[in-house]
Amino acid sequence: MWIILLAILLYAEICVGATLVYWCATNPDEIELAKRLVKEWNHSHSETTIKLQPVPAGASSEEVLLAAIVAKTNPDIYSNMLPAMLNKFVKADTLLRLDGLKNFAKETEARIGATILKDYRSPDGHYHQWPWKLNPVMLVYNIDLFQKLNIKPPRTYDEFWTAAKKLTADTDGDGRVDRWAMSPSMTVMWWQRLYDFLPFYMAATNGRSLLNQGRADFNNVSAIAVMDFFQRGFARGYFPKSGTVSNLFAQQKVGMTIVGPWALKMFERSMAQKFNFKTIPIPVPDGHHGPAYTFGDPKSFVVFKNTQHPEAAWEFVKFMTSKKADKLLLDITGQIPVRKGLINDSYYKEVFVRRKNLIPFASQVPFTKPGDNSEHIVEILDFLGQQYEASAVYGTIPANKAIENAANHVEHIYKNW
Amino acid sequence: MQSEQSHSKAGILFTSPYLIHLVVFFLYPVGFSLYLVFHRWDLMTDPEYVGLRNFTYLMSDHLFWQALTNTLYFLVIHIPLQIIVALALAIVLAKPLKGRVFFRATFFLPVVISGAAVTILWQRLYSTEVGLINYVLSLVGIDAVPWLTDPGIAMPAIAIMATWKNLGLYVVFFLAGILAIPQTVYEAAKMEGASSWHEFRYITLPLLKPTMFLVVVMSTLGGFNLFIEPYVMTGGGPLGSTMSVVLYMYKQAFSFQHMGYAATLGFALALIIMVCVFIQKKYLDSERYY
Amino acid sequence: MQGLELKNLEKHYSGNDQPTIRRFSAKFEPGEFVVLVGPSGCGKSTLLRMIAGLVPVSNGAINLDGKDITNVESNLRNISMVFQNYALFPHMNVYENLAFGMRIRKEATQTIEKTVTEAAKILHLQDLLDKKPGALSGGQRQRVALGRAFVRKPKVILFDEPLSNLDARLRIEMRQEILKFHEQCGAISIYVTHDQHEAMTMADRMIILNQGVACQTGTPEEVYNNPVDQFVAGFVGSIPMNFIHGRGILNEGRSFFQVGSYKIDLSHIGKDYQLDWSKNSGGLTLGVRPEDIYLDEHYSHAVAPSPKMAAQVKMVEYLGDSTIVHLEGDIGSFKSRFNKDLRVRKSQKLDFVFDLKKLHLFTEEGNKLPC
Repeated sequence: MWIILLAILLYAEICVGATLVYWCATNPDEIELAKRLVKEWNHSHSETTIKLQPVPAGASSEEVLLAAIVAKTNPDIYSNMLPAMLNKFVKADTLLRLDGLKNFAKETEARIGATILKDYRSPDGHYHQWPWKLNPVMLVYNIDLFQKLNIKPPRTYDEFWTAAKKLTADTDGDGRVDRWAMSPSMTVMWWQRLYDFLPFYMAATNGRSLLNQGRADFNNVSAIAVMDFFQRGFARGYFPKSGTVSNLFAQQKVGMTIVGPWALKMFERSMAQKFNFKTIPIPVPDGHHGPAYTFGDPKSFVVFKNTQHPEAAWEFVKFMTSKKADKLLLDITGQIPVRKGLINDSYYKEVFVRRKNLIPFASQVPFTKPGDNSEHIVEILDFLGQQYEASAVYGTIPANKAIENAANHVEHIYKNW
Repeated sequence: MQSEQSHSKAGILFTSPYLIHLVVFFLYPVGFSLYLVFHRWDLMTDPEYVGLRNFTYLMSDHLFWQALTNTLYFLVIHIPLQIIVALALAIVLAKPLKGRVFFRATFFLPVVISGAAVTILWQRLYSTEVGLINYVLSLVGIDAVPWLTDPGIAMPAIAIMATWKNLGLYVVFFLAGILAIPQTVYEAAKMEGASSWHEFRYITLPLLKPTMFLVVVMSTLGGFNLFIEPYVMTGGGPLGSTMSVVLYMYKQAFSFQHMGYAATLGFALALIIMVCVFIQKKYLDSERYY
Repeated sequence: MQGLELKNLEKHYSGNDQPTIRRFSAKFEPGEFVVLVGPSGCGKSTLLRMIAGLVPVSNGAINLDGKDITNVESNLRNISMVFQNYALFPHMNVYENLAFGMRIRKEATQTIEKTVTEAAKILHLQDLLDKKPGALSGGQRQRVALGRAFVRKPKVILFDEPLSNLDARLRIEMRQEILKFHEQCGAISIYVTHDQHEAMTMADRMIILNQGVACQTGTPEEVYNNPVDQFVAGFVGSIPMNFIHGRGILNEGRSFFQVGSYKIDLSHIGKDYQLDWSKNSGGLTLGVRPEDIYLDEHYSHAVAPSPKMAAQVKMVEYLGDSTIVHLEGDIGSFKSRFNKDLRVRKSQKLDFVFDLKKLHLFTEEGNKLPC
């Protein structure tokens, strides 16, 4: 009985055409964007229907995705893939190889360009992800406050400390400091390091990776300088040691913050008092030469291998990253499409005219890195986080020791797992 | 013959809910975990046989030993605190006070509230800047205590919270134990000249030994399973001081996808709990008098 | 004055309209064994606990050897108590149970050991000293409870239904033990029970308690033969007294009890009732004990027989030493105790007489008419 019913349903499915399930990220802006594009797609593509669903709730989208793959309830298409996490899925042979699909090379050339694409190559030399968007992590500062206190926007650590010294103050005279320079995270959650240690390390090293061919590549002066930077900030009281997670920047309780462009809208929404802010690259050690690289916080489209309709899925991915779709992405979410020559393309000019504060982020794109693509990245960042906590937040071990521990642990992980 | 067969059919049918539950939620998971102990499995690829490698890794994994030390530290604070507070409260509630039904119900309330909700509530209470506890302390001139961000204080703070959460349950146990002691035994002691302290020391306490054993074992089991409190409140920090064995196991399983190693941790924990309860049984268990 | 004196003791519990104990007075001589007996809920345990100092006294006074101890702490009264369920300390062995009070009072180890050994000898507990109560039989536990009372060398020992947890055979055995123990102690023993049989067999004197009031005090004999009221009459005696409702009449200057067509002469019980029965309603209750009923012509010369009355046998209880026969006749239902050799069958019709010298007469309110 069940089998007959199932057969009828399957037959009906085939007659009507393909249905593909697409999971997008859960923040409101991205859901709105996905809804608009999917609606448009379904309207004009009667042969393939897309079913949109935000990633189900869970501790992190990676965990949900893993669980779904194990339970074989994964979607056909997913757009929130962190390239650093990709290798795990590639190793498990769960992702569709995209470079074998129709017009892959042509599409790449038109949108991304070979140079950028290389950063997204899997260790086996093939491509399993389609770069979608970037959120370059940068330093945003309160320009009104800086002008009032006569502070120069910091490009180097030296300049940062000068600014920090002036910013950190007791503004209401109750004997307790209530304004600080910046408020880096105190928690050990592995992904927090993508927004403090990693961008500073990339800025200090012209975009160097943490790993090189399964070995730690960060036991160096730059990494120690970065760890030392955070240690000093906490030790000198420039960074508050509090467990609160409220948005201190929007409340003007800190003068600087490190974020990607997605956060700008949030700041504007949660400001108690309106103020102006400006975005600049991550500060670099004194005497650093060259541009300040940063972590690009990229997200990619992936198609799962167990999809029934790989060609249709590829068509949908291309649709979602078309010239027009990229413009909507930029406009609705404030996130930067991975598209060569974006900032000079007249097609996107009107968005940048309207939203000037996206320009610094878009200009930063050539100087971003996607981060290390390792199946052990979570464990490595987790341990780095513990060292960061011990050294930077609590100052119980010197910076060089913290870096050495973290590097040794990477060896340990690769040796044992 | 016919009826015998239909009888056994009915028997199977009646026991099937339990049997299914046993197999699906106990036998299968335990069996599968045991299988995983000898394998490496990242959820997605096929498990790979590794022999005793998970076990040898465990022996040299200082993060595990730190988590175990943390958990034992938690137990050392939690169990005595739990017993003292619950016993004191039970003694008060055993007396014929006005409104004792209300108080008995009130103290039981936290037991039935979800652990996650209680944890979030206490996270607010413990907040260094805006927490109620520090506000009350500030009224009597005590400086703000960094409850959850000081590596020396975080675990005791969690132990206090866990004690509060389970208090009602253990009060009920002690109350039942106290009320089971006949009033005449106290009268006999009183006629011999026993003071309240004598009564507590020589009558109540020794006669509560079976209850005490139950409470110690139950809070040991609960304590070793410490998870939701550090998971929600501290993430195992600060400086790993609240990283419990179960939280570490969770991290190995679901953050790092080391399923085989997590299963090994689970078995190690079960073994440690067994040893602990065995020792407790040896020193605490006694005959039941009532 | 030597001995224990209770003066107008009263106990009121808040929430109860009626006092639990009402104006209770009694005197106890040294060496006396007094049984407080009454139905459950009559207040006898409360009274005992007031003497023990476990329940505060609302009104009245307790004097022991001339000293007022009404508000003295119970451990300073020189009074011990043996509880219904023994109230032994289950986690202590026999020795520790006996030594508990002395240890609390911080007496010297040698004194403790001497006293405990003495008590153990008297109560045959020598071999049980290291056993816990859980390992003892009911009788042994009882003896430990006695021993615990003994080591105090008290002036008064209170027993709160101490035999109610034992089986019938052991109970009879323990009665003798307790009496022997009482003699060895030489203290005043006040013994509470709801079992009138126990009271009768053990008491030097018994006090019958009903609804917080002492109804009668006296030796078992006095109480049995001369109950002061219908309650006592009905309470004392293993097979309760039969009560027959009828009227008093005056015939040619003599008093008779009339029930149905029978007239029973009352002149044999004490003085002649020269009462004017017509002044009150005339309703009376005649009490007759089962053993004072005889089958027609089976009585001895000592008996003053009433007129013959007819009845039918409803049930026969053969006890061995005697036979209880349930009868129903014109005068109502009643029980009689007959000689064991007598054989009667169910439904048999027979004639019987009362012994006119052994009758009791009560008003409708249950008060005894003066004899």
